[in-house]
Amino acid sequence: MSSPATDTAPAKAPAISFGTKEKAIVRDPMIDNNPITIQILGICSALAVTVQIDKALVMSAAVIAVLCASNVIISMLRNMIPGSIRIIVQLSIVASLVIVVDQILQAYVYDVAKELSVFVGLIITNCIIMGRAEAFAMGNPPWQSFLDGLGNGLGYGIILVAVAFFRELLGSGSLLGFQLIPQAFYEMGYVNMGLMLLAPGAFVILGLLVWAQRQWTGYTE
Amino acid sequence: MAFSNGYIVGFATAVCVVASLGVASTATGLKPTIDANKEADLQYNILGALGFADPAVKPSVKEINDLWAKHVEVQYITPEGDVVSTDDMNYDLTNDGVVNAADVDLAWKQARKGEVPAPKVMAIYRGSADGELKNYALGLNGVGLWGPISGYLAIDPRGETIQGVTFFAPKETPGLGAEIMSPSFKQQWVGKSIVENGEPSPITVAKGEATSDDKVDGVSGATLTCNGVTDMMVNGFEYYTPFLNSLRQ
Repeated sequence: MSSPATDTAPAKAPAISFGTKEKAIVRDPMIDNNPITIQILGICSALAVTVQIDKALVMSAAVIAVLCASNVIISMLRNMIPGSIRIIVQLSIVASLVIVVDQILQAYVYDVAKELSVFVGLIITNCIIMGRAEAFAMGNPPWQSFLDGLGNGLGYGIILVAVAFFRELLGSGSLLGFQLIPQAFYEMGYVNMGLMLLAPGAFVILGLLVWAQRQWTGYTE
Repeated sequence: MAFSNGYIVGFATAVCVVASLGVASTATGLKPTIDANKEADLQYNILGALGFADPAVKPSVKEINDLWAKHVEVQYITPEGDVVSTDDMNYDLTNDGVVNAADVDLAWKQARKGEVPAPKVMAIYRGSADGELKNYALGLNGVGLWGPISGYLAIDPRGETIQGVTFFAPKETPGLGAEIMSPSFKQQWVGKSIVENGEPSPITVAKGEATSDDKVDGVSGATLTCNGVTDMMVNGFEYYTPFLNSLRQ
């Protein structure tokens, strides 16, 4: 488990298939090699956009879209990109995709985009995306790279939504904006946990998730 | 794999050209939709303060535009209270109610330096239903703890009581400062009298529970944001006093 098995997969699979190896490419980053809880990447946005579930969902969708698209594009260009400028080429591609996604969000889900504000733009600096481009897409064909992007994006999204679930439930007493804890509880003296709305609350939840996940998979550094 | 210098330069150029074309065409293609969203969002805030739109459920852009056309009329006044014509000025709805002088970011930057900008021309929103004037909405700008805050204050046609209020505080902490956007905080303002001893007088936010009629309860844990709301009200009333006086004559 010390290094991700998928990173060294040979690049000779048939163009489009969904066999055991492809399943592993999607599944591994969701559980055994989760980008957030195992690789501890993408923490910034995991703290910033997890106050409510709906924001976490939109952010996850945006990251999945950017990650799949950037992996596919970089994979298609992988034999043409000169090694000496590969990072800057990857960065240009990722940055352009992020701006496109940001514009689409502003046009079609304006209210959520307004609340996510700078964090959509900051997907550019999300280590997961550059990491997958460099570690996977530069050495694997487009289809596998797409699956890798999907798997890592979903792995990121699962953790984001899990953190947001606890933060919204404990911090605001609601889920997806619906009030779950009845008014009567508040009248009896129940108080929302303000800590959960602040970044330290996210750190606590994230830490607990990392611990639970490593207990489950038996991962050690 | 070794590439020639010419290839590297050519490849880099090609990537730049393709990427910029992609970004530019998306941005240009979606700009009308995004601008329409922004304008509808502003209209929705004002409609919410005036009481013509449900603050809990946001209608579609088209419904908002329809409500706006039906109920709201924009008027411009100088700080002296004179109504001015829109022909000879730069009309820009995105300036958050206060035109040409105090857009939100400007208010924020200047406040950081301890200056409060004085608007030259202010937008007043007249709310009417079935041809009858119901209320006015006044735009307000201020400074919260983390960034700019703004709001709209709806008052009755005689300028005596508050009929509704909306606040916009995108940078404030969710659950603390951002609670000024919550229905329970906004509800407190409704029905408050803004006239004291025959002079317009702002409603302010108390620290903790309100002790007098010209105050509303503060949000615990958000004193600095609440102070920002108080300053926004006090400054706003300074600008709007001549207009409010003219309403009561």
